[in-house]
Amino acid sequence: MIEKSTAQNIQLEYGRYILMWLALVALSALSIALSSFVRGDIQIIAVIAAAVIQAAILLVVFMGLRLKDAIVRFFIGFILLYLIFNTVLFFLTPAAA
Amino acid sequence: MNGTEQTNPISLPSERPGVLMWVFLFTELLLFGILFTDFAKEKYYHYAGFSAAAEELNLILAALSTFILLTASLTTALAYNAVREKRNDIAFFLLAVSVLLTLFFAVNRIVEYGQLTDMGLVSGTEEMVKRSEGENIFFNLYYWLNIAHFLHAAAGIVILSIAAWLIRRSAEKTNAARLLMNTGLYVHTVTIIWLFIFPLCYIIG
Repeated sequence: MIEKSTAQNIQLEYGRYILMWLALVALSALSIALSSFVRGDIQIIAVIAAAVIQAAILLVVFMGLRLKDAIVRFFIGFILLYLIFNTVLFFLTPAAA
Repeated sequence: MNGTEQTNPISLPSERPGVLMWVFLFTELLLFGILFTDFAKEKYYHYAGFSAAAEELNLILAALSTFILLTASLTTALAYNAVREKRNDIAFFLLAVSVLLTLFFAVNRIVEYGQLTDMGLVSGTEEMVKRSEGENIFFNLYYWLNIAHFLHAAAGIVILSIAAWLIRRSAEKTNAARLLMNTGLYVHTVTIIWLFIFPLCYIIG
């Protein structure tokens, strides 16, 4: 039998999932809108930032990722370093071609 | 009938996925990460070609794909919650919706690839010979990224279907519950990867 408090928590999670899904859809709509109004580096930064926020929502809310786990901290650290590397590569590579 | 009156409830052995599952998902992200890096580098060197090529893509179909995958992620997450409440019938229904949505996503992708093929925008065609080097590189990377993701989505359809079937039968109860937890993680990972493909190819490109 499910404990009452656990059942209430699960009910709350249904609402939280739907709310987060609305946020994800809104962020996608924002990205598309930005493609019409903004150009250049600002557009790239804004659109990538929207994608990173969406990924974070999915990881934390939908996938239940918890920072307390050492393995998760390791993976997040690695991914952050990778993102920084990618950003540097994207913006600062000398145009040799 | 409420959740506690269900017959054959599925009990969750653990609320935490195993380390191996995270390692597997990490390798998936790493695989696509390498392709994203290559895309970013080539876009820098072939800015004009990438911009011209991206104009050929169908933003509406891609936006629809994004909406479909986000909704499939939602229904999968809700299905996992339903299993935790021991509402197996609702979980099965939500998983069936996830399967249908992912199938719709796959059809949507095939329609877009068909449009591009009709336009001759496939490697080796006369149309591509006429195009600039940047446009050729863009479409090569576009197909690598999108077909790799399409195959992952197709695998997701199979995994979701197996999870739905196991929950419907309530056979191998413990395994079905764990499978649903891991299925959810896989589906969400496929969605996360698409959330980066979409802006890279269709908006920034």
